[in-house]
Amino acid sequence: MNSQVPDSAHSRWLLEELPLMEARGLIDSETAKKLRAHYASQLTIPRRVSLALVICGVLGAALIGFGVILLLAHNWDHWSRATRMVMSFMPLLLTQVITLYVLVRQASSVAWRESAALAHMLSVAASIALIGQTYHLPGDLEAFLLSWMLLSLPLVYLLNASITGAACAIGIAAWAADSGHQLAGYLGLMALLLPHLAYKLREDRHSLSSTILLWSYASSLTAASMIALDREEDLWPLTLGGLSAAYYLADARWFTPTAARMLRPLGTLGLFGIALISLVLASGEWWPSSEFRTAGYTSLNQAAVWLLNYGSVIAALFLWALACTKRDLHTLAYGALPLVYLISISTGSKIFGLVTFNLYALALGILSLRRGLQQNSLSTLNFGLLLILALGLIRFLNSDFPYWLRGLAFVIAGIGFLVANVYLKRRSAS
Amino acid sequence: MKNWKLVAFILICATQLGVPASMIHQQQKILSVGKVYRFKTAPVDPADPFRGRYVAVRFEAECLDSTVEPQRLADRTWWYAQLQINDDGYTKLHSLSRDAPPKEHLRIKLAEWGCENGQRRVLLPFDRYYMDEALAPAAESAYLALNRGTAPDSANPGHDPRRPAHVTVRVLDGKAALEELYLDGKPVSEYLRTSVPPP
Repeated sequence: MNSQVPDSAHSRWLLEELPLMEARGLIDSETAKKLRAHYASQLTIPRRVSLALVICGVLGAALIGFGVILLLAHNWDHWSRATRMVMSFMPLLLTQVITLYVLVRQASSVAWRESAALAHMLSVAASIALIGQTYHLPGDLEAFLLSWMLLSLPLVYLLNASITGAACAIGIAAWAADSGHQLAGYLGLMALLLPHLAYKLREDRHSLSSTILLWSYASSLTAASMIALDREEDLWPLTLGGLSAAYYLADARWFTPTAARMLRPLGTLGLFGIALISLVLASGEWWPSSEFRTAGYTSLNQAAVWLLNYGSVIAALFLWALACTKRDLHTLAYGALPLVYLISISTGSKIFGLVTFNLYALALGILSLRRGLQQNSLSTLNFGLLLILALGLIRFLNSDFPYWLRGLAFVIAGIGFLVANVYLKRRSAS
Repeated sequence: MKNWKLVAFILICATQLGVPASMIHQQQKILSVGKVYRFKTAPVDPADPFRGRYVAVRFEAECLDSTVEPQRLADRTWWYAQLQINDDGYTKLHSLSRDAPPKEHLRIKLAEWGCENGQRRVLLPFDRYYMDEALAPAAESAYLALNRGTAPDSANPGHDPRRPAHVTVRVLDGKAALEELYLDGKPVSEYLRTSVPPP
């Protein structure tokens, strides 16, 4: 992020190479230790400094932008229409001047670029909104969002601004939801943002920019998939299950497993999505129909709906096939959700489907428990325990067992939960 | 800064300025040369929310007889309705069509829900009047009172107390620009100045 220190991706690469160099005798252990100390510290400190600057800059720009919008929206009645027209352009002109300044003088500063881009994006919205207010234009949110996003998108590339890119991804999803489900348009607009994501991922897939972009793009795509389900509600386990599995498998394949959950958006969304869908299906409350309707997909929009409904499943199956080569049982099990669903509905029997998913959810819980114990990871262990507990809760709520028995079961489960945590903590300490 | 970035910056800024400028140009053209129509506001549903610094207005002309089916949000496209001025000077819509008719018309969309009397509801391209936020609450109260018939009318005791407001709209080639909101025959700002006692 800062031109004075080594790129984080290069530093990380060198740290990963050091054990190999040492093993081959290219460097001695003393040199390896010094290199490790130097590059590890370079990796952490600059990120904290730059991150603080970026956050402050972006927050400041956002607050100023919103404040200006509110001040100008006061609608001072004594101003003539001509004056109001001029005032409507002022925020936009000001931020354009700031953008030019950043391009000429501060192009290497992430904080300046991100702040300028966000302020510029907000001023575009302010201009359009204020003119709409001046001429009493109707509240056409769809047209407003589309104009705003189209005019803001170029800023992502001009200023290499990821936060603006993330905001655009969310805005495009909001437009798709409000526009009467123009999903072909959604895919087209998101395609315009993809080169920026690809560039950031190639630069450093674990950077803050990449993380922010992945969180927003993945959330946006999930929202669009849910919009696509509006006319095909029964497809929800396949579509959302496929999407969650695709996210999870992509994370397992291309991202460092030791990074914190917040820095792994695909893995986090995928994991929670898989767990949630498995539990919902295990409960039997929202068991969908097993018939796949192929309602006349002829127009471009309907083709986009098809792509969103089934594309994620195809991607998940492809990634699962790739994951089979690594033979990681935990990853394969979580990523197999679409397959498990297809098996569960193959016979047409709801009972068979429910049993399948109850066993599947239990298996996921046990595998997470096992992985947590193997890797000394409290979070993974607790996730597995919570999954098993949630499954137990669903089964007990759905059954006719007396209260005392349910209570006893929960007490035993709670004790088991605490014992597992204490055991793991003691094992880590020793 | 590289040349291509400068060119890109200029193009982006020109587009960003051009869009609001074209909005202004279009509205100004309609207000300058468009024909004036008066639309009577509809009786106010007490449940209608006031949305802040503008007065949300509904019109009698939103409801019209038509055999056209309501459109789902996903399928909403533009329709055209012909304009007709009644004997009382107010405008109503009729004859929905997909293509712009040769006579005076307005471009509208169809709502998913109908009117209470079973007529088809259309979405007019004007549904709010922006005001100074300090005056908007008083305008809203006056608008609601006039439409419900609770505003005092000492000049005509015993008359139907409802005195619906109306708006003037300029229409040009099917597009509309809302000009003014009138309460009791006066522009809203004048009505508030003369009829509403200061706090």
